[in-house]
Amino acid sequence: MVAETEARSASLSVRQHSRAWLIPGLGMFVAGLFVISLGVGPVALPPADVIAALLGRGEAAHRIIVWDIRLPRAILALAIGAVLAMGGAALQGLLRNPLAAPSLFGAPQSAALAAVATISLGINDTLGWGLPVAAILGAFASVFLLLAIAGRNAGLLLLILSGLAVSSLAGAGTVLAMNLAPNPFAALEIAFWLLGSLEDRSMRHVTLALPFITLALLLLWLQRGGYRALALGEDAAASLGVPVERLRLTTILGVAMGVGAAVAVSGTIAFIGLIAPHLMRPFVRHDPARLLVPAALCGSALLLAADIAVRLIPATSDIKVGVLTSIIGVPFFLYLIVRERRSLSGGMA
Amino acid sequence: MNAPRITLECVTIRLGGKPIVHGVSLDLAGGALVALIGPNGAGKTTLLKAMAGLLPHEGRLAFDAREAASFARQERARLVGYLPQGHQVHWPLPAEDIVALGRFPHGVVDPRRLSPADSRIIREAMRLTGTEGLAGQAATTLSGGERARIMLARVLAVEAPVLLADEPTASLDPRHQLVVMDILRQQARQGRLVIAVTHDLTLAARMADRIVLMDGGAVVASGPPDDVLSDRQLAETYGIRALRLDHDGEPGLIPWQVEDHP
Repeated sequence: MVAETEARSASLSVRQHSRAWLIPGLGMFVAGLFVISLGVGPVALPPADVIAALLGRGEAAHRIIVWDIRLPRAILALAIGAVLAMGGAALQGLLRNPLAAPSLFGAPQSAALAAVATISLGINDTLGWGLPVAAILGAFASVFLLLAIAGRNAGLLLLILSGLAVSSLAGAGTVLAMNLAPNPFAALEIAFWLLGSLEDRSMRHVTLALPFITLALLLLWLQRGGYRALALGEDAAASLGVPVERLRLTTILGVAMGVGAAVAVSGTIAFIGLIAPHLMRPFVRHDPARLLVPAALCGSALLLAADIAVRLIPATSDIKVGVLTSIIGVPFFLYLIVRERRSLSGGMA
Repeated sequence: MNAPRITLECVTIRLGGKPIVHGVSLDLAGGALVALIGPNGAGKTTLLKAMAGLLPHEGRLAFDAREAASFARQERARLVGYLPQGHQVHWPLPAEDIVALGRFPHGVVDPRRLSPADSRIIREAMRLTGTEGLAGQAATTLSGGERARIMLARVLAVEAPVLLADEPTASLDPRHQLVVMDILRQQARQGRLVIAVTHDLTLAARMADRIVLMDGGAVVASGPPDDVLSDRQLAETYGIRALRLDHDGEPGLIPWQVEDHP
């Protein structure tokens, strides 16, 4: 009996060991991509020069390129990738559904609509605090509306259909604003919200988005125990002491805050919240709680990589990073639908 | 463990304004396996959920003479373990992590960081249910019987004085039905109050210390199996007649044929 117990705890520690590399490994990978992101562009800088410039040494031109042009962009890619991915993982945990993602529920589209509408109406300018707040409110309204329509134990089909309706409506609203734009320049500015991009961001953008994103990450991470208990369904989770209603509201708030702040400075970048959690799930043995941090790191890595890729792809005009994530994300989404086909068609998964 | 006690006085439960359970008064004490039986739609699950604190109710509900509403969420989760019907799991979590969720009300958030006491309780729950061998398996790949026993281990790991189980033996093979009921009876023998909703009158008659019979949202009989499961009562509530057996002095009961009460 004792030997058996020892063998068991030994196997447990081996398993824990093999997973212990996950977060540090991902962290190193993200750090590497971060440095590469600072080196890629019209003036290519090797990592040694990037690090020198970061430390305030090296050529003055390099310091300006790294600090003023590329650092805001890299910080935003890191933060936005993380919060979109953790938002997706949290929403999936809440709804117990691997196909739940903020972008499928129309959250970024609604945030973009709120941002565009307040700018068109002259309430906000593009660098004011009102902008992320409006975007957050837009995202919150869409997710709240969606969960209200779909109901408590919503099936996949219902959620996706309602999400389609919400995102179509928000998209139409944004296009309407573009349509009514007084001049082509205003229309071009609105198009920015439809095409997510991290180009030409300044530290001002970082200041606007980062506090909300940090708060959102913290808020969602604190709910992790609830997501794990929800694996047993809402009744069992509630009987274990999980405040299910509060968890639902906090999750919507966290997702809305992250997505809204991200959209306010980068436009709509879709599918990170779907892909990153899915890639990480096998490494955490499908635990919706332990998924959150690896998913966030994976999201950072994905968005940093996508933002590096758009700078390296030879094209006459700049490809927007939001377009790239969608081009990769949609086939991936189709693949997930095929996998989840059984539960979509109403059978038991 | 102090023998726990549940007191219900004139409990009414409405769902969407409609009273599903009305005017139920019961006094159940620990150390007993109570079978909560009744035809479909009698309000058994609704009553069980209200006792678990999952549905609002009118009237008085008290644990050990203390009002249920006065318990904090976590405190109540440690007092009452609840096993829902269906044994659903939404993620392919390893079985041992499912069982570890039973320690959630005791402040265990991460199943990878268990105190020696918590892991001992989890191992004991898995030993009792014969599920040690399933520890690392994904819960979604388990058979119905395995999943039912993992879920039972999960609720045992709460170590709650009151254990509420909704159809714990549904869709299990005969052996596992007996195994599960036997575990529940052992829990009762240790002083716990175990209330199990079941449709299996044979098992209820054989294993339960006490039977509460519901019909149309009300309790129509409550007492020892022999008293509650009379021919007249079975005809009135279920519209059936039962075959009665005697096995070395132990009475047995098998639902036999449809028979409406005149």
